[in-house]
Amino acid sequence: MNSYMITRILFLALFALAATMTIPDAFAPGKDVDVSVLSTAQADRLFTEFKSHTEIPFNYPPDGCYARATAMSKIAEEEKIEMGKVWATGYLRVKTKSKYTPTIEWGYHVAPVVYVSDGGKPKLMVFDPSLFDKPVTVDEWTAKMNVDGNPKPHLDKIYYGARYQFGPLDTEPKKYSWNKEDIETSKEVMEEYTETEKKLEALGEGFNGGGSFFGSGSSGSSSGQTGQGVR
Amino acid sequence: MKKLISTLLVIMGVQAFVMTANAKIFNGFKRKPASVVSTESGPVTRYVETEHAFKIMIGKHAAFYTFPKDQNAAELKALLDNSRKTKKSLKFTFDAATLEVISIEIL
Repeated sequence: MNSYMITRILFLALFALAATMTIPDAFAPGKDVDVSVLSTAQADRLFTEFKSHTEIPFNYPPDGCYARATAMSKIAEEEKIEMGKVWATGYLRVKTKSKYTPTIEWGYHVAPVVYVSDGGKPKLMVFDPSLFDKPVTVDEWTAKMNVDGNPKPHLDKIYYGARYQFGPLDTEPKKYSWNKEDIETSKEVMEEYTETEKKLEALGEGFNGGGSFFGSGSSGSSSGQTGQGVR
Repeated sequence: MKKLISTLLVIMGVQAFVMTANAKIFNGFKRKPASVVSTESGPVTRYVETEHAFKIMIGKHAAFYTFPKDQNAAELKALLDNSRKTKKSLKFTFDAATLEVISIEIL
């Protein structure tokens, strides 16, 4: 091994080390999770790639975020990109463009994250094509889920974990690798919701009738509660 | 003999009660003519009670499914509490667009 090879290996090792940062691991208090640092161009390319995966039902946002987040994290991993995951819990409400489902309500929401840097201080960005057309900051992400209504929306907690985690913090232990059952469940959920997505689109009730799936506003009154029409 | 007969009657009574309980269905929103209906089963993990509805989470699902409050609200609330406590699965049939629950069936 000559000096050129040694220098190159050291350079690559340094690059690899510099290409990750950490997020706190809520599933292992006191520990951190490694997360890749991408350039804006790399992040945009990854986001576009996620959107191109038609097996991921981004157009059916009422449920399945846990399956979509796992699928995206696995795609990124195949490209040697380590994603983490961010969870928001509480009573979350988002506005959609669908006249049939003007609002969606979640008890929690999860999406994958990586750091993105343009040369400055890297920012943790959320990849959630079911809600946005590009990577967004965690603050932008949570603000989207604060649409007024009854009951009043509230954010209880935001926390992070490794890409291997599937459900929220109170439902599973720390995971150190992919769990076969989670991957199977993820596939089943995505297949089921892809079918639902197709059926709704056939009825003209699709969630992407107006281009973007969601309205641009992240707050404001919600006139269409899902609880309407109580018998 | 009398004791045996009475024991059998008690067992038959219990079985009849269990069968009735198993078949119990809570009806919620009416199905809309052109709609997509889905089903999910799982234990209740959390629910929020509003003036007119129960907002229910099941299994690993992130969504709140909406069930209207009616005269059976107290009975349903007891069922939701029991499912959450015992992890017993319930079958939800719902409108896939609105997540309005058409029925909840005890499995």
